[in-house]
Amino acid sequence: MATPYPNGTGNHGTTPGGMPQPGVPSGVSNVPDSYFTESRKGEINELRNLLRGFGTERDPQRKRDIIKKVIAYMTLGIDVSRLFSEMMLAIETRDLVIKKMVYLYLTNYARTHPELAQMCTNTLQKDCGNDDPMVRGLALRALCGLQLPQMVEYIAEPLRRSLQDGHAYVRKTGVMGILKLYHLDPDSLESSGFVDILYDMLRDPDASVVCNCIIVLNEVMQKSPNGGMAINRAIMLHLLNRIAEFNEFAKVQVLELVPRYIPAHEEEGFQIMNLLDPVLRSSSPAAVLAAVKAFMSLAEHVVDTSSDADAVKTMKRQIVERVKPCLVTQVSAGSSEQMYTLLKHVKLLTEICPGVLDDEYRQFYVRYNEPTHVQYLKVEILPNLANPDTAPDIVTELAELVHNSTHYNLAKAAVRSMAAIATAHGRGGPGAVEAIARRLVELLDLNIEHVSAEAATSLARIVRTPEGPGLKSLLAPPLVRALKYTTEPYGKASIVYLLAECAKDSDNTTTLIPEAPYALEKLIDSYAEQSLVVKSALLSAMVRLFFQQPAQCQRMLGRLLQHATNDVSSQNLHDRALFYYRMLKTGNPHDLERIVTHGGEAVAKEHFSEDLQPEEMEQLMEEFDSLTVIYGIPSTNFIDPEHQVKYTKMPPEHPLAPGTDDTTMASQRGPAAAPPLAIAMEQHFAPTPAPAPVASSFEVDLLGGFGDSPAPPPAPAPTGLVLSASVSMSGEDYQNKWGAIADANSFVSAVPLPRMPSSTQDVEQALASHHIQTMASGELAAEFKFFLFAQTPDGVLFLVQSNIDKTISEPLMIVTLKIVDDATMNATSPQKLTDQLIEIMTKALA
Amino acid sequence: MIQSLFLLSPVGEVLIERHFRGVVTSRSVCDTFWEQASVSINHHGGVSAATSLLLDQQQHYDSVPPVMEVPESDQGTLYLISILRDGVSYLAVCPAEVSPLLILEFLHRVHNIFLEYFGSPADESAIKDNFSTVYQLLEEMVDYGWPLTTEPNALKGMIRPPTVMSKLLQTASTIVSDELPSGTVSNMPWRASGVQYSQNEIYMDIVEEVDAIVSSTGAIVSSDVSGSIQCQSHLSGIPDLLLTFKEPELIDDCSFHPCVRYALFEKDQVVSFVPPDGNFELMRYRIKPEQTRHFAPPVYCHSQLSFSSTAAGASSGSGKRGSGQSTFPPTSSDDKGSKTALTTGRLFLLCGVSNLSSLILSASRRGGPLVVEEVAVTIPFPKQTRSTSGFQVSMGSVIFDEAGKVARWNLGQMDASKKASLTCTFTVATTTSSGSGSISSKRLRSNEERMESERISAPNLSLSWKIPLASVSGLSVSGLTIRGENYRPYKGVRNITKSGVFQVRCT
Repeated sequence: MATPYPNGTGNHGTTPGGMPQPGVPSGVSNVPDSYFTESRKGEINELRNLLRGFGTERDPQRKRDIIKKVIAYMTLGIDVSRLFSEMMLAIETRDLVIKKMVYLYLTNYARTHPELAQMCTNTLQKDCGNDDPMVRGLALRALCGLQLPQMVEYIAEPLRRSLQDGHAYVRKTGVMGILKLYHLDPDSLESSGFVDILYDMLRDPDASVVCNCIIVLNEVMQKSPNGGMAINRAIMLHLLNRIAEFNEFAKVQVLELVPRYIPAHEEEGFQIMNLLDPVLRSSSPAAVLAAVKAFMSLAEHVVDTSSDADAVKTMKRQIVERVKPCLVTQVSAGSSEQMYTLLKHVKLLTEICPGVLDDEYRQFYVRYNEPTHVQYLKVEILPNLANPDTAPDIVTELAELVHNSTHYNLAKAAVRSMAAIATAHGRGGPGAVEAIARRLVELLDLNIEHVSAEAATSLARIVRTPEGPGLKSLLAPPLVRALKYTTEPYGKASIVYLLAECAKDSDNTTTLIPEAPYALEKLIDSYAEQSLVVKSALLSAMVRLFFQQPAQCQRMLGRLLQHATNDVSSQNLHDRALFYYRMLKTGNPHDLERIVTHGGEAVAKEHFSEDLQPEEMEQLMEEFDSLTVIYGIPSTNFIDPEHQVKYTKMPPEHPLAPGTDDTTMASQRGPAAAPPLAIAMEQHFAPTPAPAPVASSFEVDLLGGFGDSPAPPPAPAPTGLVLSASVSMSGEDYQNKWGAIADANSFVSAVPLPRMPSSTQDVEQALASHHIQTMASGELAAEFKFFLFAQTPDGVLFLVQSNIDKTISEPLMIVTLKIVDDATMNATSPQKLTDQLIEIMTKALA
Repeated sequence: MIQSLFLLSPVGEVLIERHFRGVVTSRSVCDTFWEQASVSINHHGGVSAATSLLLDQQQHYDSVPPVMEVPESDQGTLYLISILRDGVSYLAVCPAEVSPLLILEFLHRVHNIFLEYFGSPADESAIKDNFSTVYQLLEEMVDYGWPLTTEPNALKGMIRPPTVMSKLLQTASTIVSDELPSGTVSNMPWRASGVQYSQNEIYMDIVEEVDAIVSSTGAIVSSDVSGSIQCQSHLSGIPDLLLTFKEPELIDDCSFHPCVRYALFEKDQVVSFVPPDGNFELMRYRIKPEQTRHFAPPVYCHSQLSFSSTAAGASSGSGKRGSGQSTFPPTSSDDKGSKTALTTGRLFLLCGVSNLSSLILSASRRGGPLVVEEVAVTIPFPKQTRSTSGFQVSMGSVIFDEAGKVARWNLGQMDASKKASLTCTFTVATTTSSGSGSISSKRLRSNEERMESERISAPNLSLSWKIPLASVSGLSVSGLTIRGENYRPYKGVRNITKSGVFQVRCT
């Protein structure tokens, strides 16, 4: 079958041996002269002369060299814009390379020389009709890339033609051209109908054209309430069915649509997952990660949360379990930059789904020649992977790192990670806390300043865990020694704390460190040299020791209190010392004892304030595969507002989401006894008038084109807030209910009015017709005031106080709203209810 | 979306800049980047030198994370996503939320395309000499900040690489009439149409790379084997290939080149594909952990490191460590008064081929002795190393990179009968004060950084080696068939096992 061929050809790894390399030269040699020589005075004039002879030059290679020289100058940052008119003469050429370079020059200087650039419009337009698709595409790109507002009228027509070009290269260039046109003149895009064409072109046979359509639609529709391209079922399934055709960059574009899509039903969610499964096998980490994000977002739609509240969580764990090998493969295969980025994401996954990645912990061992930022990340991830089986190995590895790392900060990080395993409740299994404490105690004696200090701080944390009290006899011996050579303030303060904590064993009888007071006495003597954290720890420690060994400590404490009360550098410390002093002096020492000895109860589970809270993690997860994960904060906190995009999940017609349950709505409408008027809130759910018709017409179109597409989604069920027609209420009742809800829990919104009402009567009548009742109203010199209320059939009561400022030109009703929801059964969030009521008011007053 | 792309030379000057969105990003962005990147240059005494002995993918500026922000540019906060390859920094400037991996992957692709076009290394001079091709390539690879055409074969259809032929014919006029791109075979963007070879051949290397950390006692701390199939295909027309394995169940997880029909692999565990032209990576795979659990490395390297301090200056702190062998590296003395303490280190290495290797040899290789090729040991000396002397080796040769403080011991071919040893001494200076006057950045002034620079650690050795016709997993090909074309190509398939990141700890 396959013939093995002899080894020893001496080829390096990635190139299979035994065969001559294709003729790729070094690229360094054999160039006549470097284009990057220093520019001398008058060289631009020289170039001008050369360019003037360009037309008569017969040697094409020399022609190229002349143009190349100009571009070389441009690259160096030298202004060659003076050659503009000469360069434009060179545009008439059949040499593609020259053409490209002139186009490059043109787009570079068009902004600064708009009138000259306009002169070459004709040539560019002519090139847009060239026989060669490459020339057509290039010319179109240059034309759109000039970025001159006055060019808009010249662009539209070639652009429109290009979208029907027979060659995909021209079409995809044209699609991108639309985006350029949009940034040049957003209004003209709206009137041109290009958006509709783009939606149609999502069916283009060429995958790269489709990808560009997605990019352009997303960006053009970015400011729409959808936060991007409108998606419906037909579009989504069409794109996903073609996923294999897209290259890795285009795959990411398609996959990024999935989190914005709500599957019609659970079955479809699983179907999408199956369609995406092959992407996990892609050699591209970007595509793999985008697929992981898509999977995680689908998790919410494929499980029934009503029967099992943790179903989503379970699903997510299953997903992480599934993608784990792919992620590990990508982490180990990629470059250090990719590794860094992937590890950031892996870290988030280990926090969201603890335990799933544990068995891969060896993949996260630090290698010395990795960049330090990768090493830190690995050290931070390792404690997340600790379980009773893996913890011993992980702790050993971290200890190894502490001893061998050249970077102090990395060694410290490793110490912190060891402590993190000990303080994470029961994560390391039985005995782990003690084993880690033992290692940290060894580090105390290591005499490497920063490491010892970090170890002390970590031990101070561990001693507060449930296992902590049992460790005191282990911690006690090196403390006095360690205090002598620790200078780093936080480490020193931690040792001071530990000295007081471990001076007596947890049974409170055995004295473990009899010399503790004398060790601290040295610090009292050199009080002035100590830093604030040490002083503060010293004060607490001394008071505690005083109650253990009053005889030895009395004089020392006296001196310390004197120092501290005379110390004006810190108000806090000064006051605390004074407080202790007075407590002792007024003969109430046992109260003080109770205060300073915290009773010995350990912190059951330590929450570090810097740890991510579950809600924050969810937020980050929503923005998976983005800079957000790198920085560990939601993008709204660091991306400039103009670039922020907030998308809505689509389509709204078939939501599985809670709170918009069709059946309950129907049953509410059913009984015709009471006449509750259902107000369809289309506006609320179909936020953009613009994309909605496009999407729907497109849907029909698509369905016609694809016979295998599923049946159209069910018609949108009218959903919204229903208000009871007859509600009565006494003024006193109103006031009581209003007063019962804190102002902090009220919602404030505004309702725009078409014109200033002439009297309160107008407003009251308009609102009453929509079942919003008026309790009281009044007209003041500068404003109208209204006290309103309304109630839904299921008992949610709205109390509204509003006013209209008569002095401002644009009439606006400021609404303060409180919701009384006795039932509390209502799944709709108060914010949503508020929005819905405001919608009704807006409608009523329009 | 990429707003701008900058290529910086090894000294931080802008080689190429390209603005895709009609917005010109100020070059001050590069200054911010360079200010941070140059910290690591000073640190190691020249990054290009320090990385010369390292693998390509390990090049990086240690002080710059792949994603960094430029907070106060004139366009608000910008995000720089960067890679360093062949001494050239590739900076992508992004103003908005973006998938960082997508951008990184794109930058890698740009570099790979440069390698395809200009050969290796695609360094500063290659880019300068070919700048007009670079511009042409970027023009096709990015449109308005989004990746456009990135497949090497598709690009080659549009932009002719500066081949040897075109260099030779540079003056001839024929070359200028560039042939126009034939319509791309759009459902196979990786393959150009109309490829013709007089001799059709395809070569496949099943390469298994062993990443491992070995403790100083020779025990394996962690090991991982990742495999890949590297192909070189010179086949005419549109050949449809089918690759079958003897024991496909050995594969635990894998990823494929886009050309592979994934569904068929899932169903029948066969790799069916229309190959790209030229060099490409067909697939990557990981072996089931149970296959590698009993892996024994074929090469060992034992080390012995000892320090003896010779106090030069008023040092008192180092006294307590005494002289002779120590279990952990010495640190600088605590005594603030001391200026310089010189410590002499003595390193002894013993390197050999293990008889107990668990590798599975190809049939043609069985019976003979285990021969390991390209054996080399890289020794990163502590950064504070002042001088090295007395390199003595029983075989091979040593080169020492003064700036990067890295020595490389090249041993060449070895078998179990040979043992090689290396001895050397080096002096390490430990200073506690103001020795770093030449470093300009304020960042380094901070106490912690100063401490950072003082810690001396035992070097972690890295071993590299290669064993042809051997495999860790035993994965082998049972057949490679071609359909769709009538010719019978020459087919070559072989196994190679080599070191990936293979580190040996030294205490």
